Amino acid sequence: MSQPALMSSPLSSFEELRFGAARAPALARDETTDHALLEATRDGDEDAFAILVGRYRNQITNYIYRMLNDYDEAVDLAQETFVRVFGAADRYQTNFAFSTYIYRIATNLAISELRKRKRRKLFSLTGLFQSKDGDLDVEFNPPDERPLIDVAMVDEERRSAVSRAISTLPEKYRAPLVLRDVEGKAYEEIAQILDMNEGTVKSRISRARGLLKDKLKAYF
Amino acid sequence: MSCKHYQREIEHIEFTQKLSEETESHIESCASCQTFKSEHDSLRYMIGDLEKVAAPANFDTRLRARLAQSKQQRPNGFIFLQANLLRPALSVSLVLALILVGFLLIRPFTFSNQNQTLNGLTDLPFPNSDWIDEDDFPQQKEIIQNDKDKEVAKDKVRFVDLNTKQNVKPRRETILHNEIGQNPAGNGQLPFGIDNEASITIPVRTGSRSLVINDKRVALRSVTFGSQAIIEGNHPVRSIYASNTERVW
Repeated sequence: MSQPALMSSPLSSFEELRFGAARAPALARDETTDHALLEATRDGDEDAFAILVGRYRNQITNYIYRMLNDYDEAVDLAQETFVRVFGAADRYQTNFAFSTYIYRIATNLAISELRKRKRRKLFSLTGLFQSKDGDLDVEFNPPDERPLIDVAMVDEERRSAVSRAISTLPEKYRAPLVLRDVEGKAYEEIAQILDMNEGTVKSRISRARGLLKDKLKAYF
Repeated sequence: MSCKHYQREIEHIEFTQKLSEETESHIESCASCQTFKSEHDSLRYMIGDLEKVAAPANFDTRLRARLAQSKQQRPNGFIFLQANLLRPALSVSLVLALILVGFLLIRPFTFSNQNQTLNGLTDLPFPNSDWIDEDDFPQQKEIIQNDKDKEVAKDKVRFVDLNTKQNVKPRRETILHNEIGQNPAGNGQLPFGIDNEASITIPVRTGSRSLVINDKRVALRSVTFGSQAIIEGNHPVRSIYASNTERVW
């Protein structure tokens, strides 16, 4: 499995995109709205699509990664997300923000992958941390409670534990929590992405946080 | 108001908003809500402290290739739409076809009991065919249990034309493969001594499901595409009748 690329690592910037975009015109379009870019994409402007990719590739990759805790799969599904956006450009309607639209696609792909994994029973069969919802499917390794001497190590171990704990949440709690606490989305947008009302979103996030608190007691 | 109300506000306040003064003052005087807020803030901090993962450097290159591939694969809209509509029907048809094939493959044999004497070559009802047909065999379902055959010599194989009773040179494809030895084509001798655990592949006409081994009918374990069938023998094999030839150990 590949190591995740972090935001601080050198990335291919928009200027480096290889969609055939000329650099100068591309820069000039940095302020263009997502809707306008998608309309241009619909008209066959691949440069416009390249800008959209540049705007969202990291967010979408990060979001799916937090959903799956699997970097390679996250990258693959992020790519699939853009392929679907591109393929459905003709049918795109501007009822929602483009961000909502692309996150919805990414969410559906991630949840679909989680369900596939569940069917394949790729994960633990131990039933550890099985919730009463019955759809908790990943073994959670509790933190090592021995004292650590290095602050960086402590931080890293905590991040790792948090990451694992998130990946053990049932999918119905995981998506709203990641959208809220990792991606920083507003409740209204989360409700639109997940196609549910805000009350449900809030209650699921509360439940998700409650589960996380239980799993991460050692770090409070 | 109850603590639950204040805790709900603590938990779900939008990032840009501040807690109300009433809630702030309640927290100051309520240990339970202080704990709740402390844990809430810690959790939010821990989640917010997760590293942001970025797309790999070759993301765009790979995406471009993927898009090009998907463009090539995508048929025009009308056909694509039709394909989508037809997909469930096609899936159902495929499943039904598989069930039908499975049924045909496992249905019991219904041969007559005539010609069941299998002691001699002449008693075998083979037609002048290059291939084995299930109609060539009398009913005999059981897998052979022939411990007594262990004493049969297994060092040599003869191929005998059932019509002429003459030794013949076996066709190369008579035995395509065996998992123990090499392809025995051409010399009339099998390079493997079949005692136990033998597995051989013999060409049969599609639909055939049995061979005669050691004068007994053996149902084929599986029939693959076209003209091959596989039998797995956990028993000594003395002879296999196939087509218009016979192998005798």
